[in-house]
Amino acid sequence: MAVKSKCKRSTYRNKPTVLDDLRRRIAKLERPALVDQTNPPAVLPFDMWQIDEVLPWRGLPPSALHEIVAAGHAATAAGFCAALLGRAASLPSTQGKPVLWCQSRQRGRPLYAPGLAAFGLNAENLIVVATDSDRDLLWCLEESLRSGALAAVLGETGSVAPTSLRRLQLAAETGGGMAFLLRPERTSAAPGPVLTRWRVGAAPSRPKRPGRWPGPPCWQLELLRCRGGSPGDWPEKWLVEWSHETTNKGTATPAGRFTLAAEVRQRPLAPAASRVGVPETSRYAA
Amino acid sequence: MVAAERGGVRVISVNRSAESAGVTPGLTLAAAGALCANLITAEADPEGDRRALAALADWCGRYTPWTALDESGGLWLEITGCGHLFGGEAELLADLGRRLDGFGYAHVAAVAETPGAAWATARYARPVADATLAPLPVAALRLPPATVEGLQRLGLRCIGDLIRLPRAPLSARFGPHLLKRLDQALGRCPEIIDPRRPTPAFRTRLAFAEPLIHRGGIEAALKQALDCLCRQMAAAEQGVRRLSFTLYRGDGSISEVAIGTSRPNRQPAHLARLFFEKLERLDPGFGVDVAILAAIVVDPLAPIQSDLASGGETQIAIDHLLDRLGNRLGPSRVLRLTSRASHLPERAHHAVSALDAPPQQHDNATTHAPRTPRPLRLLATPELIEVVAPVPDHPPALFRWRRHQHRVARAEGPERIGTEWWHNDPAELASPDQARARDYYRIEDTDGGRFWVFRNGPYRPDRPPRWYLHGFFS
Repeated sequence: MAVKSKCKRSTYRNKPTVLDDLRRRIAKLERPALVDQTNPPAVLPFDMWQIDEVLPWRGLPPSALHEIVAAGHAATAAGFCAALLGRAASLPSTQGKPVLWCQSRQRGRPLYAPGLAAFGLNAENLIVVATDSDRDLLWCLEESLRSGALAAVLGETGSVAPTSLRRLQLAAETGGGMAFLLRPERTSAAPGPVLTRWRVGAAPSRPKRPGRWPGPPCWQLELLRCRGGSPGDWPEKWLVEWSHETTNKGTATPAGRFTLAAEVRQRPLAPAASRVGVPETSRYAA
Repeated sequence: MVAAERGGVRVISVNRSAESAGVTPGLTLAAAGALCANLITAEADPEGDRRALAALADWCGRYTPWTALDESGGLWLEITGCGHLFGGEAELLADLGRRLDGFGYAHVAAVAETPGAAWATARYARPVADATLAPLPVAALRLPPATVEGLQRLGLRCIGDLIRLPRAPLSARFGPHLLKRLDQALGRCPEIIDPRRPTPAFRTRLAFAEPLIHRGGIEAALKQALDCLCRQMAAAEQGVRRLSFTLYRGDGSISEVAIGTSRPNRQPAHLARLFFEKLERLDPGFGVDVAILAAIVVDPLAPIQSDLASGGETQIAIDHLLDRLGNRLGPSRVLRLTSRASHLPERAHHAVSALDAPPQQHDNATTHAPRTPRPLRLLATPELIEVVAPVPDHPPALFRWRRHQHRVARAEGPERIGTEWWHNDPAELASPDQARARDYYRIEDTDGGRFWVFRNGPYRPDRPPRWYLHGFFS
């Protein structure tokens, strides 16, 4: 994909066919699985134009790794992931493939079925795997991605070594599924082939009724990295709400949708390169 | 072999040379020492004997899948239909004897039409090959000692005497057990013995001229056996759910791995892949001379026609993935989560292995689904929190959980959840002390973290309320 995006800026515009042919050949050597896909799976849109138009693919593309950094307590980012998985399982292009949620025993707290049902995940479209070790977890992720039998795969990981990330990336390309890695914020990010990296934190909800009652789930969402996108193009934070659609009980339609609550644009107007070394926490102190 | 019993050290069992010196089981050690001056004794170890016999029974699986332990220190092998693999029953027996000699076991083996006759022949017929029951002593009928003594007192010394007598007086005198044993030995009534392991429905046996030592050889053998087994199953329209692969090593021990599948399957390539994950657990030892692949659990599987609509292929791919995950991580680690119709939060959640039957939608679980939101993650045991509430019967204003303080911004509740009356066992409750009802609050702290907390039991003025954290909302 990196090859294709460079293509547009190329100066050799007069010989596009030759160059395209060469690029295709190189791509075939590098990633045979990607090129051979005659029927590439569709992207997973947020159905929120504010986010979708920032992403070069108008959504989260399959055959790629997406990392979600969990700020806040145990279930905040997990709820966002559950929403994404529920939507991935109900995409028409996935043809009823299930999704897989993999956690290791010493990490992730146990999931709760009645809570998952609110995100459209049930016994038919969700498989939960509990492994004993991180090694088994990575094996399980890789195996599931490679099989191509699943619409999306989520792993609650810690720090993943670059080699393992690369393996996961190749497995995702082979199988064509979507891979989400959910890791706590205190673990370090590996410089790896992650296509997008998000940071999900809790946000105070907006009550639907007057009074002190909590409203629907609300997350503050930051796009930390997006390959092929330029960091100045998107706001610093989105406040995203999840509204359950209780009318649709079937599995073919998503159980809810994202709505935008607010956009925070506080990004300093400095060039992107100068922000690379700044730790993430200091940027969001304000 | 000696053991302390009945007020003295007594002889339990003897070998042949001691027997020829006149030492018989039941003698005291002093009497035995008087009969045979250079008697070598050892402490009896019935448990160890039993273990060794069980291992030997497993090893005998190389001859037949049907093996069973006999209480009196013997083994049953049902070799119906197995003889031709060795060139006949006599050859099978000879092979068994040769190998047991090699292990250093003194043994007597006999083949007969019924288990009872085989038992009698092996223990009492001299020579063993003479398989007529009539001249054998009555003790060969597996009778209790009192019955044997009674028969001998009447002058009935051998089985032939019994056969000639009318049945009714015998039964009246000694009870029905005697006639039952006699009929079982003669094959007039069936004898049911439970085999040690379930008898497989399909089985493939490979014997090697040279012992296998390397993994490559074992893999090749496995592939060959799988091909053969899958052909058998295809002919019978069956698919395997549970499959075991056993290596019989030259030193008389066995090594076994088993795999399970989520649906009946008979594709050699897929089954081989499941086995290859586990092959490192198989230890060929000093060489493997027989390998047996047995389909323990089978289910009907009609021939599949691959359809053009992709739904079937996706399902097959999912099944194969589940098989692989389940076999490596264990079937209880690959789960599907379902809701159950129960008010208690911890009981409303139910995890079943994804390798079992595909989940069925429970109508009552969806109709009884709670109206109020439920947390995404639920703690297995609720954790005690310190709470500050402005008014006693009121949602908390502040709580402290694991040394972190959370200031509550919003709260909803209470939702009173009580145990169903038919669940009276307090041990079933996840809550540490036994309150019949809990008041749940859905609260949100100032950072936006959402929690599910409850007060244990209704508010009572004489006792400070106890609060617990039970779950996390997204």
